[in-house]
This record gives sequence, C-alpha cells and structure tokens, in this order.
Amino acid sequence: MAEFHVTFHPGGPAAAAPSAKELEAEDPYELVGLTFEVPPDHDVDLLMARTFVEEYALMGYSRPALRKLFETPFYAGTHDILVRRGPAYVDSVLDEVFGAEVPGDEAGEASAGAAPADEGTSRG
Amino acid sequence: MRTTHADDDTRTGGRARRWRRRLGLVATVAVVGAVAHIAGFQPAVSQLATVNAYKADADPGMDPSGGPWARIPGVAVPMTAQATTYPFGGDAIPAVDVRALHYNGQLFVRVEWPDSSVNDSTFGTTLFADAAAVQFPAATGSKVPALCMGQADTGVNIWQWRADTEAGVPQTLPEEDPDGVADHYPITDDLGYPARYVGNPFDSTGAAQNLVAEGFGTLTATPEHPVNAAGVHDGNRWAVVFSRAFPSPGEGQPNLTEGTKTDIAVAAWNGQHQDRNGQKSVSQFVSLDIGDEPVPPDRTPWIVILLVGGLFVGVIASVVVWRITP
Amino acid sequence: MAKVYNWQLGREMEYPYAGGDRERQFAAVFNINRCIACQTCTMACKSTWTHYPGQELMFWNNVETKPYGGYPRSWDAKLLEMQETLDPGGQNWAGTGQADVRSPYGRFDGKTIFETANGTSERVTGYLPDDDEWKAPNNGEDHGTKMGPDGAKLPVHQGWFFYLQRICNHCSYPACLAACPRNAIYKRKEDGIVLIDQERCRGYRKCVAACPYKKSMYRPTTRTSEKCIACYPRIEGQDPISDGVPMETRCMASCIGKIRMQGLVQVEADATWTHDPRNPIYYMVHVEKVALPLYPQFGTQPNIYYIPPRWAPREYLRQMFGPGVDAAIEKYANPSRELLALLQLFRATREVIFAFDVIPGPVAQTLNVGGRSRTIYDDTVVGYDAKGREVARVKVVEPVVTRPGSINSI
Repeated sequence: MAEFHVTFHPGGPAAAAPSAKELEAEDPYELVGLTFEVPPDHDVDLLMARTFVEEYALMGYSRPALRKLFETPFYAGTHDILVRRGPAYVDSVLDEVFGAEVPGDEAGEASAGAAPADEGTSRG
Repeated sequence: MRTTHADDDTRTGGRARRWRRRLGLVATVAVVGAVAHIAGFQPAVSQLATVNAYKADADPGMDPSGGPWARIPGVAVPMTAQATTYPFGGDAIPAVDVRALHYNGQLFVRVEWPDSSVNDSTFGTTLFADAAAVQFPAATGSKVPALCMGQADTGVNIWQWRADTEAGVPQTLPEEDPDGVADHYPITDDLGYPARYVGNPFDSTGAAQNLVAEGFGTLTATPEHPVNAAGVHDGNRWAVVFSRAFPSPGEGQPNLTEGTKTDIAVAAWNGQHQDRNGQKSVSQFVSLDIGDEPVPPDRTPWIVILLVGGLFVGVIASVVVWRITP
Repeated sequence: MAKVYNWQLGREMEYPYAGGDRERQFAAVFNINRCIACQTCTMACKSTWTHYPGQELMFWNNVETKPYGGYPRSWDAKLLEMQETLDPGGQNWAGTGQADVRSPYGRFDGKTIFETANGTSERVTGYLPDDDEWKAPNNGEDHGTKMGPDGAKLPVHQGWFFYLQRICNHCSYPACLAACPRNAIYKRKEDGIVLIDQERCRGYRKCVAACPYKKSMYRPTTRTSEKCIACYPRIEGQDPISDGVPMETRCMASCIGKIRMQGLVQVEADATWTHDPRNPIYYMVHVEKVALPLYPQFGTQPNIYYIPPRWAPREYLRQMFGPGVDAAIEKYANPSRELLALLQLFRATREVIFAFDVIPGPVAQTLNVGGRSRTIYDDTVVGYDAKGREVARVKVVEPVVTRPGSINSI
C-alpha cells in the first residue's frame, strides 16, 4: 500500500520522538477493526470521483475549479485518484459531467454552461 | 452482510430453553402465591421458618464476625433465582444463613452466604458489586405484601448493603487505577455530577441504603439514612450485619419493638455473575420474632476448661495405666 | 407487551409500553456524503457535557469510520450477529415502499430486538460492552498505520469507506427505556427527547446493554448511566441568544461540513409523522425519502436520518439503512430543484428551522448528472424559525472567491 509519510516536528531536536511500537495482540489499547471485501465490480475510484465532481458541480462549481481539486495534493481524496488513475481518467469523469472540454479554454467558462456572472466574485 | 466478529455474549437457544425450565419451576411457586394473595389468604406471618431475634445483654456492634453471633443458631434460608419480573436471573447463592438479635431498642440482622470472590468495585462498565438486602413489610401485623417490591396498598421496606458503596467511590480515573492518566479536568463542580447534584444515594459513600417500594419500579431511597450495615469477607463467605433503631423512621417503614412478630425476606447478589437489580437470589418471606429470649451465654471458657481438663485426666490415666501394667 | 405501530418497519410490533402522549419529535438529517470526520461535533459535545471525572471514555457524539471502526468496538456487527442467531434467516424486508407515511420502506418481516428477547431473561436483546471496547471512538482507516522514530505513516485509501456520525437517536420506542427496571428513563412528549433521571438511576446498566446504538453509557464516579440529552435547554429555547425559539444542539450547530440539519416534527399518537411538507426534516424523510433511519430493523424507530453515501457498496448500505437506500441515493445524486436548494439550508442558521420556501432563480449551468442532462438553477431557499420569522436565506450557487496565491495564507 502506498503511504504518505508524515513527520512530526516536536519542540526540540530529539525531544518527544514517538516511540516505535509493534503490534501486540494482547494489548487492550491495540486497535481492532472490521474489514470487508470490496465487491469485484465496485469501482471505488469512479464512484468517489463522480461524487466529488457532482457534489460541487451541483453547487455551481466550474470545471477548472474542480480540476484543481484533483491537482492539489492537499485535497488528499481527489488527488489520490489523479495519482492512481492518471489525468486522462480525471478528465473523462469531468467530461461526463460537464461535457467534453474545449482545448485551450483556459477559464473553462464555455464548458460551464449558461452560468451567470456573479457580481464581484469569480466562481473558479 | 456476514460479520467477521464472533461474540461470546450472544444468547443461544440453549440458554433460552434453560430459562424456560427454570421459569416453569418457579412459576408454580409464584402462581400459588398469587392465588393465595388474590383469595385474601394472608397468613399473619409466613410459615417456612422462623428467625428469632435474641435479646443481647451487651452492644454487639457492627462486626459480623465476633461477639454474640457465634452463640445464636443460624437459620438456613433457601434462595432461588428471581423469576417474577424482568430482568430475571441470579441463582448463584443457594442459601443464606440468617441470625438476628436486639439490644437496647435496636434490631440487628446478620446475613451470611458463600461467595469465593470479592466484588467491591463498580468502577467499570462490566463491574458489579456483591450485595445483600433484607426486606420487611412496611407495617407489622398487616397482610403480607407481595414478595417482590410489595404492592400499591401494602409496601415493603428494604435495607440494602453493597460492597462497593462500603468501599467508597473513587472520584477520578487515576485514583482507581494508579496507571491511569487523565490530562486535565477543567471544572469539577457538582453540576458536572448530575446524580450527585440531585442527591442520588449511590453517589454517597454510605454502605447501607434504606428503601421503600410499593410495586415494581417504585423502589425509592429515603432521604434519611436510619440503617447501618457492615460486611466482612473471610475468603469464602460474606457476612453482613444490618441494624436500625426500633421506632419507625417514617412512612413505609415498620415500627418494631420487643414482642414484634413480622416477616423478613433476603436477597443477595453475586457481582462476579453480573448480578444486579432483579438478577438476584431471593428467599421467600420467613417469620421474624423479636422476643425476650436472651442470647445464650458464652460457654467457650467452660468448653476450653473441659477439653484441657479431659486431656489432662486422659494423659494422667494413660500414664497410670502404663505404670501399673506388668 | 403492548402492540405499537412502527412506521419504519411498516407494521405493528411488540413493545413493553403502549404509546403515550406525543406532540413533537426531535429529529435530524445527517448527510454522510459531506462529512470529513473533523470531529468538531464530537468536541463541541465533549467540551459541553462530558469533560468531568468518570466521563473519560464517554462520547455522546462520535464519528466513526465504517465499516472498519465502531464506538464501542463492533457495536453494530455484534448486534446484527445476535439478531441473526436468534432469528435465523428471518431478518428480511418484504413488499415495496409506498408513498405512505405508514410504510415508506415496505414491511420488515424479521424480529426486532424486543421480539427476539421473547422467552429470555431480558426485555431487549443486547450486550454490555466492556471498558476496552469504548477506548477507540474513531478507530478508522485514517488511523496511522505505524509509529516510528521518523514519525507516523498515514494510509492512502484504496477501499471504500465512509464516516458515520452518531448521537442518541431519541427513538420513538427507546430500548433503553424499555429495559430500565427502575422506570428511570422517560421520553418527553413535547420534543421526544429521551432522558435518564439521575435521581432514580441505580446504575444497573440495563440501558447500556439494551441500547442498540450504545448511546447510553455508564459513569463510574456517580455509579449511574448517562446519555445524550439533545442539549435540551437549547431545544427548549432557554438560551438567551435564541430569543425563546428552539436552537440546534451543540453538535449540529458546530458542524463545519454543513452535513447536519436538525428539526422538530409534529407526530401523531401512533408516532407517525403529521403531514407537513414545509418542514425540512419531514420533506427529506417523507416527501423525497432521501434520508433514512439507521438500522431500522432493530425496531426502536430511531430519529436521526442519514443521506446514505453514494459510493459505498449497496448491499452494505441496505443492511444499515434498509431497503430505501437505492431510491434515496438516486434522489440525492440527481436532486429535485427543491431538494438541491434545501441542501444549502444545512447549517445556515443556529435556530431550528420549522419551515422552508424555495424562490425560483435563473439558470446556473447545465450538467450531465447520473447519466442524464439537467439544468441547475440558482434558486433561493428561505428558512423560518418556530415563530415563523425568517432566519436564513441562501442561494444554490455557492459564492466562491479566489484569492491571489501571494496572500493565500491562513
């Protein structure tokens, strides 16, 4: 499994580094969870990507704004999908919802349908 | 979904069947009792057994292990699982030994039962305490109330002792568990302890509660604390002494005196078996006779003298016999 | 046992008490699709009600990761397994949902937790978790996989999962109330809030064992059980800033993900809901049927309604929310104009919204949603408090301000 690596930055150089701990089955504080098989025909990435895109699109978000959610690594859920499946996959999901992107359309407004301009704000 | 987690708390059909058998047995007793009750057949006192409260000539104190208690006979009162109302259960204690005496206008009742484990902490969701209770009709000389919590017109008075309340209430996690760590409690006023704020008796540290009831679900602790109780565990058995002054402290509590004939029933809980509330071992009502018969004198010194004397005579005799034997 | 009507099951069922007086019922809709498990709700509750000695493991509000986590551990899987054991092969739904407040999800033919307890020593089927089981209030896929000298590692999600936000359901037929041998638990007719009388409670923990959602908890420093009180002073309008009208609970009002909307619905004597489509909770539960009860098959008629997560496997969701899942997700993924507007009213005000109106607006954009072309309108939605005063007015299209990168800093 791919893993993010997060480093703690405690107060001092050697101060309070977290101690290493291997799994102990008898430890009552050891976390115990339930796992379930993902059904074979269940494309999680597609379902998640569509959820993200449609949730925001229904609130008036534009295509370029949504594309940024995938590109920025700080949006872990969407960015993971981009890393895992590639930009073409993300674009295909966006295409499905917004219609095919016009090449070179920087602002993306053309593909966002008949969105009225909001006074004083730029929606994406 | 099929879960991947096995659970040992699952009740099985086998347990349910066992319950039905058990219920069938006790239901017979309950039906007989109910019919007698409805028919107005109210014995003045129950006839299963009589506990005599002997008259003591010195203050027995609250120690169940010593003094006059060894000199009066115990009455073995059989116990069964409570099976009249939900939740049923509790058959861990087959019988209790009941003794009683009175001194200077004070009734003392001693209850002893086998229990190899001490459960005197309820500081945990699955921890339950050993406990015992004695129950009296609210008024002496009236008809006998229903065994379980009485009924609307004839109540009961219950004195309950609990091992955990006698041991006291730990106030914080670290106090109960030396390894426990709590970062910080920003506020610790009584408002954050709603039970304490409204005077719930379990938040006090007293060992005994005095309760009145007139039917299921009506059990209520009195605001006053006229009952004392103290328990001692000797490694295999609990012995608990209850005491209260003769005059009735208030409504729903019997007025006692020398010459009173009333009834007493006993309940006991084994915390190890998660007994609590209706899950308990209960007795029927037995008679309680507060008489003028004195506590038998302490014959221990005479027995010792006789034993030592007998031994001495025996040794002398053996020596003499050995000497004169050719 | 009395017979009562449970509309979530579409049938009568056995319950120890006949229905009492009912006027209004505390209810809420939680939109699982929008929860990010920030636990702000959890901390709002904890810092208000349960920060005293003896409440260390007590979270009246918690957010857990499904299916992995549970607070207490495996609470739902354990009870489902017990129910399956006691009612083998019987935990099934029959019939189809009708446009009827009396049986919107069809009929549940299996046994409830009250019915499987028949012939046992208890009134309700349940179990008492031990203290260890309460020690991981949000044990989930987000938890660090390994602690080492270099730091902690966080997993990257590859499976499906979702967050489940849980408070007391203030059930119409509470299992805690049914199991209490002390008559120490009561349900208020004016708002349906279920409370434990701290004076009468004797700490038997029958409610802890009976509550299927495990939202009654034992407190060792008072030797009594405590539970979510639905922030009742706020519901009663006692808070000075609410001007006498009901205010949302602390957990609802603090939700930064805007996933929660709380309400009070009018109920009939048989605990069905009085027709009131202007009430947002009624509208989502009974008109759109987009929000569903949690484990309705347990039979307590819980009153927190969930918009199910659209990406999770349906079989799992059907077990959790009943047979209404597919229709609910369909409604949510491609919402009606009115529902889309109403979703924007979530967390728009701290007052409890008793009625809402939608004012039509211009076309915003055209999309393909759920494989169908549709138009999004920038409608305006207005919410009204208990006195009929306007307390919120928002639009469908979220205003977005893009700041230059140079000042894009918190």
